[in-house]
Amino acid sequence: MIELKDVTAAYQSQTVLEHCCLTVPDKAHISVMGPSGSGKTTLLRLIAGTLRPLSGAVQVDAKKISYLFQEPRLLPWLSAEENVNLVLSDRKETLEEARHWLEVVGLADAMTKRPGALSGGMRQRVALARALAYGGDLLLLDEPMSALDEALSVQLLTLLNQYTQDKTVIFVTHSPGQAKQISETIYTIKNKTLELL
Amino acid sequence: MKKLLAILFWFGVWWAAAAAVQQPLLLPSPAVVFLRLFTLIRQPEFWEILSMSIWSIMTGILCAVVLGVFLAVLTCRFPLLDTMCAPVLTVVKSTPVASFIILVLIWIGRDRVPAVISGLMVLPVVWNNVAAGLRNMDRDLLEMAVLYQLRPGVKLRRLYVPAVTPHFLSAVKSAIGIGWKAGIAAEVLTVPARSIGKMIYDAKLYLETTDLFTWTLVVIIISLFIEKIIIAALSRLGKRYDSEAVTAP
Repeated sequence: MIELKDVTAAYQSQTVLEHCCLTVPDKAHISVMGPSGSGKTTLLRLIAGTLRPLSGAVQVDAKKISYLFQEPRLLPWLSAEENVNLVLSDRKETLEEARHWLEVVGLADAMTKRPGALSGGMRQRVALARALAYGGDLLLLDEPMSALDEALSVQLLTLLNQYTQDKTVIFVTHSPGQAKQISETIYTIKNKTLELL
Repeated sequence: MKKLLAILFWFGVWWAAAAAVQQPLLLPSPAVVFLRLFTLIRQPEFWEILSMSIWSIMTGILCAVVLGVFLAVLTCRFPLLDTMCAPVLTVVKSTPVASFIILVLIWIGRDRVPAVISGLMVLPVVWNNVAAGLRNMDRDLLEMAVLYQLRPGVKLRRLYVPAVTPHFLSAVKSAIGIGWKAGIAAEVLTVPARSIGKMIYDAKLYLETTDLFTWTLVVIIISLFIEKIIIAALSRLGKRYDSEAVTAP
């Protein structure tokens, strides 16, 4: 379960979120919408633990967190399979598992290619394979489809739905259609606070 | 081919100048210098002198490279240490090498001066470059590594080493030339027994211009040779971590 109690967060003394409250039960899928700069990524960072709140409390009951960023954040000097294997054990024994996840996202032919040789959509699919391979019981998705075309977004969302049924998912997006496709509950950030849509 | 032609052209200029001057004491011809070189390389003593100088200077360079990396990591990890070390680095970079040579000669004696001086010249270059590499690391990738809880060993091997490698390689490439030249200068000023610097010093002392040219040529050849070997070895490392490459090597 994830619980935010009266959380206020700031970046360089500028308040981004104020008095936010949120409860996400285990295995629930929720979406968070809002204009650019409204604090969606800040919310995910608070949950991931990379940002501390100014006040309030954040409680996250998750052993592992898979994070899918807006940009793929792959290591450019590693191949696709090495990038995925990195979050498994970075040993030869787990390379097969890394390949399996690349097959799941439809990249069986690009396993040995480095990110520089892949299209934007392919890179994001490698990042998705990495997130799935990591096996987090909580998945934080920070607008991962923002740079992808509609068809590819639908394809990746279908995959996400398929492989995250037993996981808690928090999906940040601009698209109401995508939000509805992946979650049952949608929140929006208005005036620095979370509101149920 | 173009490079070879350029080299031949300048040898031609040297030859013509020597022929015009007609005084080997001022400017010996390339033929005389090469003949002297061939005489020298047949003597076992030449190889002993060569190996002593290479050993001494390369030891200094290698120690400085290791120490430079270590200090770069430490100063990036502890900003206070960086602030404390900054004035020392500025002093080392702006002090004439001759001053250091004399000081080190007084402090530790002649035999180790070339190693210390070449190391002293190399240290700031490696330190600065590696520290710059660490400071310019991609914050997004570091955040990814934290979120995915990559083990320290994996982070070091897969993230830090590849990110810093280009900075390290460029530092080593420039450091070899700097260190080698400073080491020879130290040898000339401190004249340790059985060293290239002593041979150059003796040539100056006895006005043996041919020997001066010959030993200078030896320094140039050795410098290029070492640079080529090390750069070839390091380039393989560079290719391995080339972020522009499209497939794994």
